[in-house]
Amino acid sequence: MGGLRMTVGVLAVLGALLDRPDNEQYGLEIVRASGLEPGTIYPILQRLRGAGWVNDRWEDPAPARSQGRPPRRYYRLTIEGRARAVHALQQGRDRSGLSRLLTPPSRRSTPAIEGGSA
Amino acid sequence: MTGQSGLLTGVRPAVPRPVPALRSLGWVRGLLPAEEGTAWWAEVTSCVAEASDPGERRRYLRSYRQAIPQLVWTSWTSEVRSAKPALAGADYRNVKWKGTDVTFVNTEDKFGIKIQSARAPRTLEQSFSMIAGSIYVVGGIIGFFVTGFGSITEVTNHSLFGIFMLNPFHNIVHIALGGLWLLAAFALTPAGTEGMNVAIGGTYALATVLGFFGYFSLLSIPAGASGDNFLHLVTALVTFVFGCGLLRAMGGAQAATA
Repeated sequence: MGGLRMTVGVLAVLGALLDRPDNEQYGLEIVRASGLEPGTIYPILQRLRGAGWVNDRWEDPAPARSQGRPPRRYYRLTIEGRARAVHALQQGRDRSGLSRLLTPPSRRSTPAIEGGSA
Repeated sequence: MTGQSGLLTGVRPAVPRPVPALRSLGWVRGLLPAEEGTAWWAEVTSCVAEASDPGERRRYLRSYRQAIPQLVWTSWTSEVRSAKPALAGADYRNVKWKGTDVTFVNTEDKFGIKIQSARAPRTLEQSFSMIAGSIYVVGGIIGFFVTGFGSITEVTNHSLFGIFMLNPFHNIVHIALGGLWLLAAFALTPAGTEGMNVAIGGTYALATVLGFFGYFSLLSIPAGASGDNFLHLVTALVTFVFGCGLLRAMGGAQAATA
């Protein structure tokens, strides 16, 4: 597992990323999707990056500048990370009754992963 | 999402004004490894700039402030964790140090002892080791001319330059530490040299404290702010700055900022 401890925060970020696994998401999107604060999310993404679950990419500065904002940093689950995230979320749900807490508000109605815990 | 950002640009001026409160976080960058500091700062800037209202922005800044310890810890440890093992292409878990599977482990990988065939220009740390080692070995030898070979571990009246109190044992320690330094400069890999400098710098720091409180009469060091203790303190600090890769880390930070 690359020494990655599955805290509630990590699971929430994974949930947010798994919500739209084919799209890249930037920091603020993950903040809004997971319901966590950006200061909390950054170190989590660092760890996910270090463990190879997540790739990151800086946005091209030119279009960002034309829109009058700093370039964003986009994150996306790697193929390996995606498989592991599904597994980790599944386990997190099985282990505790926190499933509602772990599910970010944006995806409470449409579970992407069918939890076997119910 | 593009629609939303389009909306944002409609509202705000084309050139984003730096958020004043953001400056209060700038110092955090200095606590992180160079590249990570730059990336973190860019992310903070981006996130705060795109927050829609002042309240949200304030909340974000507070959360960044609160997460500083976590951030610093993760930044430094993840760098260590993601560092490649010294054995190229090999995984430490598969190496039996005490068993038979160590044929491909050479001294350079295992102990940091430099392979003579692999010559490289001396690093700053190695140059520092060379200079500091030379000074202390020469100082130790000169010290013997001052002290002679009698009353080896006693408090004497001998001094070098009139301020550094000495006895023969003190000279021996100087020559030994200087010798280790020279060994580090010429026989170890860059990483090995840094490790040796950490150890020697730590020894001098410890000697400063013990000497200051008067525990080193064995070395003829007077307690308090004497020349010896001052010299040890300076040696320790200079070693930590020039011998342990600190300048490289900070230089990287400056280069990244520039």
